[in-house]
This record gives sequence, structure tokens and C-alpha cells, in this order.
Amino acid sequence: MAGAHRNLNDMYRAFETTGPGKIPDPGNAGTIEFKLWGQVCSVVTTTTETRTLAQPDRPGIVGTVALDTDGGDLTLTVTGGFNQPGNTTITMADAGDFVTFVSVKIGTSYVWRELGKKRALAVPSTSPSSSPSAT
Amino acid sequence: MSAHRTLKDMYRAFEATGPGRLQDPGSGETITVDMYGQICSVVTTTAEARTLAQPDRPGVIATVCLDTDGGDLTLTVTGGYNRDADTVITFANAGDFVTFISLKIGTSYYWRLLANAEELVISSASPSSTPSASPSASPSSSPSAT
Repeated sequence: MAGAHRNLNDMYRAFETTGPGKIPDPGNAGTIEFKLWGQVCSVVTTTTETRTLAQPDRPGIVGTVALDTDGGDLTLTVTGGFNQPGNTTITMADAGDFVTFVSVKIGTSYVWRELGKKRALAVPSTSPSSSPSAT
Repeated sequence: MSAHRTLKDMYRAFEATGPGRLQDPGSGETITVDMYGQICSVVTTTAEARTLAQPDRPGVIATVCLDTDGGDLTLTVTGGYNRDADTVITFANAGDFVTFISLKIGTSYYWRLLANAEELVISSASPSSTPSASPSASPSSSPSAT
């Protein structure tokens, strides 16, 4: 059980101030790449800004993007789409808006799927039928 | 193969006496999450209350579940769990649960709802929040209250 205890403790410590659980905000128009399990990217905007979430390269990874400080809307483009219709764009308008994703394998590709989000988060779509279910 | 060991250890963390299981502190007490992914299974014998302490870092996932329903559980989430700063969630039935994720918002850390039982009653500090479990499916709205 020591390993189990160490694991959860290490996971918890990973999110300390300089811990690896915190992925730095790449800045306006930058790309967020989750390279470790469970990472969170706290985004700060100073005006209307964009970020791109890179497509995952394996299934089972959980990652979160949150709007930390709202200086303007954040438009997040999820490469490969985040649901079955292939919607790619999520707009975060207020500090505290967030989406948690899980990566899944579909056929020969890996894509993000929405696991949870702030309720009523605006999810503009690229296709007309955009129920942002967590497909 | 440390990756294998890590997943195995994570799985074992939720065994009967594992550190993933955060002990129910009892009526009127505070649940303090101090490890990643912990779950607190609450047993009530009458209407009872718990308080969830505010997180001190972002990115942590934690769950509170009503294990045995001897009476409603009123959970007060310190700092609030949505933008309206609603703080109170009522668990009426065994199996009701809320999974939270901690976020950094400005200079503070808060819990936010990640998932919850569909029928969960979330009584709010403000009059506007009766969240269902499903995310809003409307693509058209600007974000309203969490």
C-alpha cells in the first residue's frame, strides 16, 4: 500500500506551484500540448485571444483547460474535434470557465472528448448540429 | 516498467484501506482533500452536514458520495462551486455524488463541478441554479451561471 499512498501523494504534489501538473499557458495563439496525465493549463488573457489544443497521441489521458484571468474571450480550438460531430471550437468568456477532456482512440486516431465543463459554457460549432454532448 | 506500477498503485489506492478513500469526518465536520483523486463516502444516520474545505492548488479531482442514506446530506463547498458562488449541495439518496476539479481563478483556488448524479438536488445561495447533470446542449448561449 506504500506505493499507492506515494502515488496519490505524488499526484497531489504534482499540482503545487511549480509542479508538472501545471502546464504553462503558451500565450496568445499558442498551442497547449498535454504531455503528462491530468495536467491543467490555466490561461490568462489580456484581450480576445486564442489557443489551440494539440491532438492527443494516446488514449486515457485527462487534461483541463481553464480561463484563469479574463482579459477577453478565449477561443480554444481543439485539434481533431471534441465530440462526434467534430466540433472544434469552444469559447470561454469568464474567469472560471473550463473544460476537462479525456483522450480516446477512435479507429486509428486519438481525439479529445469532453469529460466535464462549466455548465452552459458556450460551445460554438463548426457543424450545424452541435449538441456538445460528451460523445 | 514504472508506468505499469503507477497505474497499479493508483488502482490499489482505492482498496478498502487505501489512501484514495478519504474517511468520512462525521456530522458537522470538514472534508479536506489532501491527495489527488480522493473519494469521501459519507454515511448519514439523520439529516447531516459536511463542509468541503477550499483547495490549495489547481488540477485536483475529488469526489463526495452519499454512501448510506440515513437522512439528507448537506454539503457546503467552501469558496463556492460555481461562478455564482453557490455553496450548498443536498444529497438525498444513496449514490448521489459530485466530482469536483480544483481551478485557479485569479489568485484563489476553487472547486468546480466536474460531474454529478443526474437527479442531484443542488440548492443554491442564489435563486438561479438548479443544474441538471447534463451539460447545456445549446450551442448558442453565452456562458451563464455555472
